[in-house]
Amino acid sequence: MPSNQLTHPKTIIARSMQTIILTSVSVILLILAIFPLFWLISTSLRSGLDVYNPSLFPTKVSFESYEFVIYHSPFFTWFINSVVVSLSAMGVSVIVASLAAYSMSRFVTKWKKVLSKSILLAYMFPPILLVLPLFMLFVRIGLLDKRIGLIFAYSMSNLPFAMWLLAAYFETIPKEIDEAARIDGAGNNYIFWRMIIPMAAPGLATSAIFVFINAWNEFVLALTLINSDANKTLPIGLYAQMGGKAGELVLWNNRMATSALVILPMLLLFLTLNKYITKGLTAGALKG
Amino acid sequence: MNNNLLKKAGGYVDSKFGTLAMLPALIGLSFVLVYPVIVSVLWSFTNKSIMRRTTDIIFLENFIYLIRNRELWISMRNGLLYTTYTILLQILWGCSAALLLDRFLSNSVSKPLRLLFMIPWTFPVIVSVLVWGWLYNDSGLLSTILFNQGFIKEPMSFLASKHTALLAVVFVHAWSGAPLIMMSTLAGLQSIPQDQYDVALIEGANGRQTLRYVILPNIKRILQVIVVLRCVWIFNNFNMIFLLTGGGPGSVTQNLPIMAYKYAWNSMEMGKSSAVSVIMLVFLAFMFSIYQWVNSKVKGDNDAF
Repeated sequence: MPSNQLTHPKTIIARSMQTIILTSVSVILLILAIFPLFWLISTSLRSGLDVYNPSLFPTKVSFESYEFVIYHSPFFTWFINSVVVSLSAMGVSVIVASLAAYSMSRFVTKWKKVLSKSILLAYMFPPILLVLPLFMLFVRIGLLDKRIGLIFAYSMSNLPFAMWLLAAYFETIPKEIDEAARIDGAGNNYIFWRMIIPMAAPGLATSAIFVFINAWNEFVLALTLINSDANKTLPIGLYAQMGGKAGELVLWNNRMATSALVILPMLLLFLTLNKYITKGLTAGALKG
Repeated sequence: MNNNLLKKAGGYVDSKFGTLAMLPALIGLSFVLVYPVIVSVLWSFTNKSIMRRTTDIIFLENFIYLIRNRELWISMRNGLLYTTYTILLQILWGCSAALLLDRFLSNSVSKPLRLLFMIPWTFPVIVSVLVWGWLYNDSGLLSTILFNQGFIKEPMSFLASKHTALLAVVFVHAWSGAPLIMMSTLAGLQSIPQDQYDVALIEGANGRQTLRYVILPNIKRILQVIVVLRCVWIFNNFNMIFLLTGGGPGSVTQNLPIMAYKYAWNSMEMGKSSAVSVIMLVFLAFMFSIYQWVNSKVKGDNDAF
């Protein structure tokens, strides 16, 4: 009898053991996931020696470090650069990739396999290998230390990923839709821009979000292609501050305040667009 | 546009529109894929350096220098160790989180928990590095707690110690990568039909047997693809290691990308740096063929790739 089995003392012990283990694993995973964020915010709200105090909460909440970051560091210049570069890269990349991915799913007849394999290969390509060749190219054509150069580099280096995602997405839109429209006399341009693009909106949104996030987080290309403070994006701006001067006291509360301000847009983006992001992740956007 | 050229392309692409639509992406890919490969291979046979006026072709000298130098083998070993530790920890972390959310927790708990588990993913690398750098610092939380409890004799910086640096970096990388593995595994778990679990229950399978005969066969394919792609990305990782330790202390966390970077930007030896890049390309080719092999066994899963 199942009910006897469930009330058997051994079963009860086993079940409560299972509950204890599961609960503790959940709690550990949860702490690992959220503690760094908590600690970042907690440190950013401290001042003076309280920064080094190993207590969970600040003894006295202070916004001193946020004042410093906002009024006495080039934070907003870098923030605006990051927004401009990431948004432009996102736009260029998604338009170019959707055109190519559509062409791939509908028009490419020969070598389709080769093409899709080279896209995947490009997706696996080590980013560090781009740095030196692109740097030398940018020196030659005068794109060094220019935001437009960074936009170009970001939109092109994100193409493989965006094409990968979108090609898979366009395959799910039935080809009969194109054919029916063509019989009705619609041209390719009309079919693509007016019919396919609206239907592919969720896929486009997902790839746009991912390109934006990649560009927002990118570090090594910005480090090598941008020199001047005025053109820096947030990651390399923060990196420059990290260096500091020898013997100078590191102000961890200021660093954490800057970090909090960098991560805030990402958290908001994640919470509002969670649905699309989840979809993109499950569709094969495994990068990270 | 030259009409003849477009017609020629017609052999491969079905129409003028198709060709034009493909063109910008092909130009872009040639900048970020074809051009860097060609440049790296060409420069790897030269002694190119900003410090020299002229560049000579020295054929395999760079490679011979690198192979004879211990640094290459140390970097390679570090890279392999780093990749193995990180992928194992990531998979363990991501899969247990996914199993927990899918199998053991009720919907009302697992939905908010899934969002919270994703938080590390929203951290840009530079912020992960700043936060973990602070936690690992000798005046940071970890060291302070261990010191106050008497586990260590004096405050220590976990990234500056030879014994802990590699594992400390591995932990941060696993922490930041686990959420994505969790999401992909979760997608795989959610696609397992309920009747497979029902059958296992009727047959009297215990937890371990259910895992072995129902869950694993269903997520095996997803895991294989993740593992191969991840191994490539982790092996190629530059940002995390560079920002946390810069390859140090000594060279205990230096991998091939850091080595290539140092040759190019610290000692200005573009030729040697390119040779390291070519070695990385060989590794990529090897992993790519493994990926193809894995994928050819995964029939119809993702037809185009």
